[in-house]
Amino acid sequence: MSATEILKHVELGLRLVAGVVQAIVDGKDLRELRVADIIDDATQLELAKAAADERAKLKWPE
Amino acid sequence: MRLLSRLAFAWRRFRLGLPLVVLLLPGCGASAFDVARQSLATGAALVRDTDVDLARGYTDASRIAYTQAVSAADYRAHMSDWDAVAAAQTATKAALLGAEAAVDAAEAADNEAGLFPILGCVAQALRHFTDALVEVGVPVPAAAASLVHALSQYTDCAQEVRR
Repeated sequence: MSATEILKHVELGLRLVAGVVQAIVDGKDLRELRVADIIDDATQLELAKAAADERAKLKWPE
Repeated sequence: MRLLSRLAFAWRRFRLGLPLVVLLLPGCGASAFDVARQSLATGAALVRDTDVDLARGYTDASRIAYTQAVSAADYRAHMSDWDAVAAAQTATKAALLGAEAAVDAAEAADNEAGLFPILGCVAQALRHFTDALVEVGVPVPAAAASLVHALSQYTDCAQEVRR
């Protein structure tokens, strides 16, 4: 493992520590940090793809 | 003593970055499960933070393909890179939600070793997603790039750490 890779691992470790410690300081329970609260049920990309697919289907019906 | 054994265990499994976390966190009342949850949140933030740019890029690309393509198959061919990133985003979202449920179960069973295959699945999904982002020219946020790099020692979903 190179020095750069080691530093990247340490950097990530510190980032994660900072995030977890900040959550504790803020009195947050990390079990309440849910993926579904961060990502929408339907992402903007999924909506854009659905709209584009619909438009294409109208032009080239199967 | 428990701290030392946790550190030795994590050192063997995670190599460097995460042992540091495991070393520092017990004194703060946190656990490996908290670190796993924070990692999942970082992955989820990657999906959220790139979503608008991807949606805009997809729409622009589809308009061009719509005017240039001569058939449905030709349209799909034009859109192949963008369809790949859309599929990767969906897969990443599913992997993160599945991993979260698995972390819940591992924590309920107080099974820290159960986190490793979970991280392998998340690593695989994030790697595909970031590769797809690069293909369509959407920048990968630094925190997400670091996470993917750190998890790169996990080869495939449900596999052990590469020795």
